Formats: sequence, C-alpha cells, structure tokens
Amino acid sequence: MAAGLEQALSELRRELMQVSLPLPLPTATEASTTAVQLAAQLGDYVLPRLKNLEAPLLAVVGGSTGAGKSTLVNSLLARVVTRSGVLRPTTKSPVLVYNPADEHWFDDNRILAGLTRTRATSDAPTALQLVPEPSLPVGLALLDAPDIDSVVTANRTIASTLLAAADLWLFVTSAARYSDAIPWDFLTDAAARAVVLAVVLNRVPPEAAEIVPDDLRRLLDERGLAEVPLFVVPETTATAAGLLPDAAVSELRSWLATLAADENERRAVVLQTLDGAITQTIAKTQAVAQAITDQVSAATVLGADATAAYQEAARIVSTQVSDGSLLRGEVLARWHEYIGTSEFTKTLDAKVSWLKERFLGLFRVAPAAGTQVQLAAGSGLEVLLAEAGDAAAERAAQAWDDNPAGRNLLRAHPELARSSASYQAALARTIHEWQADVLNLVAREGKDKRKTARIAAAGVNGLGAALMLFIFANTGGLTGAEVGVAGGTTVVAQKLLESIFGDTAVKTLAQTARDELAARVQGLLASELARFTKVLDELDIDTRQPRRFHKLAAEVDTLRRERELTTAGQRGTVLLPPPELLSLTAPVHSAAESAADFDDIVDAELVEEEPENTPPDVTETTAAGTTPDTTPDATQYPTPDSLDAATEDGVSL
Amino acid sequence: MNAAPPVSSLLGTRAAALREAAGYAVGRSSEANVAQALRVTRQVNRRLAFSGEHTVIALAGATGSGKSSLFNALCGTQLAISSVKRPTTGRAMAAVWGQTMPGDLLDWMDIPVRHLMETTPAGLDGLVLLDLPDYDSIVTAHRGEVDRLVAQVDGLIWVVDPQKYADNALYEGYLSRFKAYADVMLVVLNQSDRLAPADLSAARDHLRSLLAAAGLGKAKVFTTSALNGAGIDTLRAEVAALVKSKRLAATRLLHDVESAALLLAADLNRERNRRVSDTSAVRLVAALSSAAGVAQVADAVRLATQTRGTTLTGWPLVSWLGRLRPDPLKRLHLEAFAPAKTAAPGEAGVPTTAALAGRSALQVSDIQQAQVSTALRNLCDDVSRGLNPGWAQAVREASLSHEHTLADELDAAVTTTDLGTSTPVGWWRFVRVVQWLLLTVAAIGLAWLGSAPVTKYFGISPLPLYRWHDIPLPTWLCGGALIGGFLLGILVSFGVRASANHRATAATAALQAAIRTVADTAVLTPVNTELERYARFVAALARALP
Ligand SMILES: Nc1nc2c(ncn2[C@@H]2O[C@H](COP(=O)(O)OP(=O)(O)O)[C@@H](O)[C@H]2O)c(=O)[nH]1
Ligand SMILES: Nc1nc2c(ncn2[C@@H]2O[C@H](COP(=O)(O)OP(=O)(O)O)[C@@H](O)[C@H]2O)c(=O)[nH]1
Ligand SMILES: [Mg+2]
Ligand SMILES: [Mg+2]
Repeated sequence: MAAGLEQALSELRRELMQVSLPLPLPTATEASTTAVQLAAQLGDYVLPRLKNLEAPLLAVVGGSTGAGKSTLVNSLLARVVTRSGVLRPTTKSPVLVYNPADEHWFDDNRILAGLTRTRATSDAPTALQLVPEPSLPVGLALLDAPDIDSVVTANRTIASTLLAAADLWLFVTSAARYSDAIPWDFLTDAAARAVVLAVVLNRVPPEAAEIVPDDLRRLLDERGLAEVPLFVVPETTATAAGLLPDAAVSELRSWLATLAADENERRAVVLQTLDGAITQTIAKTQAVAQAITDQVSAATVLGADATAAYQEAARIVSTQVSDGSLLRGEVLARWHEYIGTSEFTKTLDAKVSWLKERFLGLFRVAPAAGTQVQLAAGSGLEVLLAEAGDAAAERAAQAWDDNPAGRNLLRAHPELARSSASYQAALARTIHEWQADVLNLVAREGKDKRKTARIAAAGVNGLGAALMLFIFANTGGLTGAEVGVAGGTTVVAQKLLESIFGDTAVKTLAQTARDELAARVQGLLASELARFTKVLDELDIDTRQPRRFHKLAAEVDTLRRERELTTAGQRGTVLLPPPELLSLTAPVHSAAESAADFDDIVDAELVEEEPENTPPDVTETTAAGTTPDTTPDATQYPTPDSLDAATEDGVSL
Repeated sequence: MNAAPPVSSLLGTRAAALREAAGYAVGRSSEANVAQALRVTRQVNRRLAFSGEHTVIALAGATGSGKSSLFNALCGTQLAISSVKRPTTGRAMAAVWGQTMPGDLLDWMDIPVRHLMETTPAGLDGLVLLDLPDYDSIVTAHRGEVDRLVAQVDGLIWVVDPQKYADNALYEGYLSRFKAYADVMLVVLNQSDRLAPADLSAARDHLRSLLAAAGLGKAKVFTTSALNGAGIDTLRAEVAALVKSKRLAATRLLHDVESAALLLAADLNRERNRRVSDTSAVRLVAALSSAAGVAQVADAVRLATQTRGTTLTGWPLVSWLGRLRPDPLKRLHLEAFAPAKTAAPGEAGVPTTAALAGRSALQVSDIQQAQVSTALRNLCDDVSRGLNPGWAQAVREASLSHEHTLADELDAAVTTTDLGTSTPVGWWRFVRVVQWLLLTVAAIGLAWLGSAPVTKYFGISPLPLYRWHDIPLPTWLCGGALIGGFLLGILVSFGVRASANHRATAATAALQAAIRTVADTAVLTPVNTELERYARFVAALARALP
C-alpha cells in the first residue's frame, strides 16, 4: 500500500517539477510557487518520511528573526550548538541537532537533499550543519531554522522549506512580535494542513506576563488553533554564553522529553503531519491543475485570435480574387493590347452577338503580349496579398495586445505586428508558382485535344492569361460601368477559351486553377500564422497535464484513505501536555543562579538518567481530547535498540 | 516658504510641467503612470494651498517598535497610548506645536485626533508630529492608514527596534519606495536600553549597512530609548532643524514630482523631431492618387479631348460619327462637375443624376484600397520607429482617423477639380471654320457641276465651265476642297492629340494637387499633430525632471 502511495506521490512530484506557467495570468504566480513548494516538500519530506516512518521525529524551531530561536535551542540543550546574536538575522544556515545514535538518518541525503551537510558552523543558505548531541533523546531531532521575515531572502526561502519538511513545528514568537502578520500566515497554513504544532511565546517581560499570553491565546483560538500547546518563556538575562536560565525552558524541555519517550505519541505526530501534508498536496495540486488549465485556455484564445485574423485575410483575398477587383487598370490595358484593339472591347457590350463570337474564334492574337497580362495580374495579386498579410498581422497583434497574456508575448516578439521579412518574397514566389500551374494546366489540356494549332495561334501564355482573367471575374459582382469593361473582357476571355477547349473543359480548368490559387494562398498565410503559433508552442504549456494531475490526485487520495484504514488504531489528534504545564510557572532566574543549577537539570533530565524501556502500546494510543499522563519525572527515553525493536513489530503501512 | 524660494519655485515649475506632460500622455503612456503623475500634481496643489508655516512629520514603523512611546517622549506628555499589547495604535494622532491649529491641513489628512501643545520649545514652532499605526500586524486596516499618510506627510521618521530593524516588511514594503527621499528621512533605532552599549553600536552600524544596501545610505540614523530618554534630545534637535528650514514640504513634493516624472520617462524614446518624411508623404499621395483613379480620369480626359477635338476639327463628312461615341468623362460622371466656364453647347454642362448626387462613377478597386492601406501602415511604421507602444498606437490611430470618409473625400477632390476640358481648345474653332469653308467650297463646286442639267431643263444658258489642265474648275473646287478638308483633318489630328496629351497632363497635375490636400487633412496633419503632441510631452517631461 505504502509502495503504491509512494509511487503515486513521486509521480506527482515529477509532474509538479515540470509545471510551466509562462503566461502572466492571475493564477500563474501563486500556482508556480505552489508547484515548486509542493515538489520540494514531496522530495524533502513526504517521500522520505513515507519510506522511513521510524526515522527520528524532526522538530523544526521556526519563527521571526530575533524571537530567540537559536537561544532557545541552545538553552534546551544547555550547550551552545547554534549561534545567536544581536545582529539581525544571525542564523543563516540551519543547524540540525540529533542524538549520535540517529546519525545515520541524517548524514546522507535522505531528507532535505538540497542541503549540503557540514560539521562546521556556516553562513551558507544551502548548508545544513549537523550537530550530534548525546543529551538529546534518541528519536528526536531539533532543527534551528533561519528566520521567516528578515531582509535576507535566502533565509525566508530556506525557512519555508524547513517548516514544510518538519514533523513538528516549534514555532517561536516573542512578546514584541506576537501579532506580526507574517508569522500568522505560517500559523494559518499550519492549521490548514494540521501540522503538529507548539507555539513558544518568548521574551515575555514581567509587565507583559499578565496580558500578552492571554492575547496570543485569543488569537490562536480565533484561528482554529485552540488545541495548540503554548509555552511562555519569560524574558530573562542570558548567561555570558547566551543561554537562558534553565527554569525558563524546563517546561518546554520536558514536553519534548515526554514526546520523545513515547514512541506511539511520536508516531502519531509523524503520521498526523504527514497525512496533513499529503491531504494538502492533493488540494493544492487541484489549484495547480486549474492554473495550467487557465494557461491552456488563454493560449487557446490567443491562438484562435491569431487564426481568426488570418482566416479573415484568406476570406478577403478569396473574394478579391474572384470579384473582378483584379480586372482593372494595368491588367485590362495589357489584355486589350493582347487582343489587339482596346477600343473594340471597350465598346463591347456584355451581350456579345453570335457574330462577334464567331469572329472571336478566328481572333488573331499577339502571343508575346500574353506574358504581359500575366505580369500585370501577378502584380495586382501581389499588392492584395501583401496588404492582406500585413493587415492580418496587425489585427492578430492588436488582439494579443488587448489581452494581458498576449501583450507580454507581443512585447517579447514585436516583429509579430507586421508580416515576416520573407513574406514579400514568399508571396511573389507563390504567385509565380500558381501562374506556372495555370500554364501547365492549359498546356496539358491542349495536348489532349487536337487543338494544338489553335493553341499555338493564341499562345499558351495568352490562354493562361485568359484563364486567369476568367477566374478573376468569375463570380461577377461587377456593377455599373465596370460591367461594360471588365465584364466584356471576361466574356472575350471566356469565348476565347471555349472556342479552343469547349465549355465543360473551361469550367473544369477554371475550377482547378481557382482551387490551386486558394490552396497556395492558404499555405502562404498559414506560414505567416505559424509565427504566432510558434510563439505559443514555445511556451511549452502541457495541455494534458491537468488531466494527469487530477488522476494522480485522485489516486493519491484513494491510497491515502486506504492507508488511513490500516493505521486507524494509531491515529487521532496528537495529544498535548496537561494544561498546568502550559502556564508560566518557572521563576525568573538570575544569570548566576541559572548557570549554577543548569548542569544539575541537564544531568538529571537529559543525560544521565538511564531510560527504561516502556514498550509501546499500539492499541491504547491516545484518542482525541485526552491528555497523556506524563510528568517530567516519569519521562522515559527509549534506547536505540528498543526503538528498533518497537519499529519492527510496531507499525505497518 | 519665504526662507527657501528656490525649492518652492522649482516645485511650481516642475509640477506644472508634470501636469502638462501627464495631460499629453493620457491614453498613450501607461495608465497607472499617468494616474500617478496626476495624483502627484493634485497633491502638490493641495499641500501648497495649506499653511506653509507647518511641517508635518510622521513616526512610522512596525508594531511595538515604540512609535507611540517616542511620540509621547517628544511631546513630553502621555498623549498616545503605548502598550505591551500589539497592535495598540489604530488611528493616527497629531500633536501641533505653535500658535494655531492647522485645521484644514489635518482635515485634508483626515486626522481627527489632534492636540495643540501648550508650550512650544525653541525650534519646534510649526511642527505637526504624527503617531501612525503599524504596517506589519495582523490588523491589515492599519496598513491602509499608514500607506495613505505616508504619501501625504512632509517628513518621515522610521522607528525600528533591535528585534525588528532587519524586517523585510520595512525594506520591501516601504523603504525601497523612498530611496529618493533618503536625505530628508530619519531612521531611529529605539529601545536602545535593551542592548549593551557595544551591541547597540554594532546593531546601529548594521542598520546603516542595511539601509545603504537598500539605497538609502543618505538617511540619518539615531538611537533612542523612549524608556530612559537616551537620544531623545538629539532626535528633537534634528526634528527642530528640519522644521526650521521650512523646506521639508517642498522638498518632499519635489521628490514626488521627480519620481512620477521618472515613471513616465521610463523607456521613453526622447527623439522629438518626428515628422512624416517627404518620401512617405509622396508615397502616400501616389497611392491615394491611384485609389482616386487619377490615371483613369487622365485617360478619360485625353480620350474626351481627342474625341471632341477630332469631332470639331476633323473632316466634317466623317467627324460627326465621333458624336455617337460615349464621352468617357460623362461615363465617369465627371465633366459636369468641373466648374464649367463656357460649356460647349450640347457637349457638356448637363449634370447627370449621379453627378448631382456628388459621386463620380469611379470605382476604387481593392488593389488600390490595398495600396492605400499599405502606404498608411508604412508611413506609420516609418515615423513611429522606436516609439513606445502606446504612442505608436496613437500615431496609427491618427493615420486612420479619416478611414471611413477617405474614399468620399478623395472622390470629392476628383469631382470638384477643374479638369480643363470644359472649353474647346482655341484653334479648334478656327480649324472648324476652315473645314466648313472647305466643305462649302466643295458644295459650290458640286453644285456648279450639277447645274448643267438644271439649266438645260429650264432653258437657261449653262454656267461657264472654265477648265484648267483640261479639268473643269468646279471639279477642281469640289475635289480640291474635299481632299483639302480630309488632309487638314489628318494634319490637325496630330495637333489634337498633342492637346489631348497636354490636357491629360494638366488634369493629372490638378488632381494630384487636390489629392495632396486630402492627404494633408486626412492623414498628414493628424499624424503630425500626434507627433507634435509627443514632442511637447517629451519637452514637458524634460522640464519636470532635474
Ligand atoms: N535578554 C534576553 N535576550 C534574549 C532572549 N532570547 C533571545 N535573546 C537575545 O535576542 C537576540 C536574538 O536571539 P537569537 O537566538 O539569535 O534569535 P533568532 O533569530 O530567533 O535565532 C540575541 O541577542 C539573544 O541574546 C531572552 O529570553 N532574554
Ligand atoms: N525597553 C523599552 N521599551 C520600549 C521603548 N519604547 C517603547 N517600549 C515599549 O514597547 C511597547 C510598545 O510601545 P509602543 O509605543 O506602543 O509601540 P508602537 O506600536 O510602535 O506605538 C510598550 O510596551 C513600550 O513600553 C524603549 O525605548 N525601551
Ligand atoms: Mg537564530
Ligand atoms: Mg503605537
């Protein structure tokens, strides 16, 4: 079961690492961060934790700069393991403290693989300082994290990463900071994913002792964190070494000791936080999937806008090519030259008499002039296509500019607003090739019929020209005086063609030539449109990723629930220390005093007392709302052996 | 005010220049930047309208750093509530030193809670000190009040404490925006009593280095303790110096103006001398001429002139055939609208219905339309090279401002242009007379020849038949006049052709001039006006910046 869950989650992690949200949509920034964070959390914490549920419980000491986290860690261990100081922020590299017996859990890259292990103090944000500390119980590790709110960006990043990888948060705030917004963002997130959490209110001066803890408690209650244990540490004078008097931290220390001693409790903590993380991952994955869907739809809209602009261009060109637009000016003049007398056709009526038809059949034509007609027709087409391409580019760019996502792309590719540099040459080639097609058509048609003599008389070029003119005015649409001129012209062209090929053949020829022109224009405009689609393609938005996300999320959810059933006996809300332990009972010690009794306490509680092995009682573990009946005196620490033994028969997933 | 005319007069001119620039930039530069510029100029007006005798300085900072405590320390009384509970201060409070309460000013700033101090220590006369709420607590409403007032006050004292002096919320949220104001801002590290002397100076130095890294190296840093009063006097003296100079308000506003102007000037191409180039204009006129059918009209003029000339001056026996041909100008509905001087009778001058409607029958083909569009686009590309997108768009829109009426304007230009075809060429009448004379002579000859049977029938003696070279004179007359008329017709046709060409050229020139006028009003003037606006914008912006 666990293997299945692990597999699904690592699959999910791989997907999350591939998320790319290039369009600046409202959902994009947050979802990218979420994806990165989720992937990091899965890799740093969820997957390794699933694989090794018996690994030591990692308690991360996190919070604002200057709240006294490092001081607190040192004081808990009664030894300086991590630097504290007046300069904000002091801590820049996380410091991990664990019992030497647990060393093998931490010295490899099992968890937090992105951090380089080191034994020396360091300021590098990518370093993790390892400190083996025999006084710490086996099965519990303390991590002093950098701050969450100082100017040092790296600190804020690594602190978030570490808190995401924690089994237990020891969230430290101070009397000066307890209502700051940023720590509360973290606490709210912790509440949302049911992290096992303890809050330490540090540095409480005597005058605040009556007011601030209650106020903080109120704030916690309001945010659904009523169950969270709150430890109040009075502001005391630190020793020369920077340690707090022992009494100030003894309460917290015993809470931790209790937790470390009870393997079931520890496991419950581990499972609750882990399950919370997985549940939240599922929810957040949906948001990421939604953001990708948004990207896909935005890109689709942009693509459709550009396509519409070019479709419009193709439509305009196809109308212009067939509505007689091209049968004006230069083309007509050349055509008139070609058929010999311009005056004749100019006075020619739309209705051509039978006599004239006969006459046309014998028309003497000037073959070389046919080429001129084609050139003129070609240059007219060129103008139309050039304008169509430019106007389409402009329309598409305008549509993109009206859309925030498109505007960004357009700023990066300003050249899109006009036709490509090679467009002019490409369209000239297109027209040229089409004209060659038309000539081929005519020549081929001529070969079949035994009309070679007449074709020779009119010239292939001239007949090609006639076919083009016929196409250009085919749908009619001419009005007024134009009919007289252009209409007459086409009729002449049509009669010329029909007299040679016969009227059905002419119709087929015209249709073929028209189709070829349409296809070539389509191709030409498509290659212009491709510049837009290429920009969209380069965004590399994975359109099928949302579906994969939904599938994986559903799978993870199912597997999580199944696992929950098998571990139901051990589950439940993690128990908190008895209420009396949460009040501020420790006397405020002077520095000298605390230095004196400091060793005693350490000796008594953490180091010398030989732990008695209390076998874990799996079935009887805590139910929600009850409190473990443990006092500091009763604290027992499992030995490494017993821990191993316990894990062997203890939990199965 | 009077103490420092340079700053305030500078402020006046720069703010006016900024307002002018923003006015030009509306709809062209980024909306947010224009709005900011207008906001700033409004702010300058409002602030300068209020008492120049008062200097408003605010204590700003994170919750719990000791703003209220410092406020009380500077006031010498417990006006503000300070507490261990966070956050305490929810609304700003003002303390005023001097004779009068600047009610209007505080109303404008929306600060209802105000106190006029009873005693005025030396140097503080005119100080309005504000205690602000925090910007970093969970009560987000406080942030709104801070943001509003931080934009309105004359001077700022940022209060930090040993725990919070390196908080990102301060640097990213506020200080990074106030780089330009560093020289008139104070930063106070309060709660100095919480640190040992060595630690305090280390923390102060660190604070300085953080400020410098954030670009605020010029800000003055002080350490105070509201608890034991350390450093309060130094701070008060510094505040007094700021108040005494009476320049704080103007300096701050000047910085505001400068920042807003810099925003508008970001990625601005400062080239001002943009005009539509001659080549672009010529290309446009050519495209418009083609679209207006100038060549077509010129051809019609040539043909019409030739037809009429031939009809008039040709051999009368055949030239009447020319009248049967349709007049190409009439076909375009053009002739009638040429300001007819003395229209040749029966030839022109009778307006057709289409001409009465004011439209020629010229057809603008898609090709010509396309040529016009391309010319317009090229003209814009040419002239707006390197211009910000918003301005380039405005130029483009200006070029298209007459898009829908352009065709009508062009047509009107063509129909109202005098094509010079309304009167026949002068020598045509003379040739016509000669032709008719010749024809008369031929007729006389013919009649003479034909007179013999008539005279014979009536018994009259026949007309004398003089002979020359053995051919009777009437035959000479008839044949010679006919051949002469025919030859004259041929000869004169060259002249007619020359006239036709001449008139076509003249008509082309007249049409092109008319179209140039259309191009000017429909395209060149709107585009150049937009470019002029840009030039003024750049110039105004330059005046708003130092
Ligand atoms: N007097 C006193 N100083 C403290 C206490 N806790 C922390 N400090 C001081 O506060 C400063 C910051 O402490 P540090 O542990 O580095 O805070 P971190 O940034 O949360 O790790 C140091 O100068 C500590 O000596 C306390 O309870 N009492
Ligand atoms: N030790 C010490 N405490 C101070 C100092 N200034 C203010 N405080 C305390 O800090 C707390 C918050 O002060 P307050 O003025 O309300 O801060 P504000 O939120 O910035 O207005 C109060 O409990 C003050 O007594 C100082 O200089 N030294
Ligand atoms: Mg630290
Ligand atoms: Mg306050």
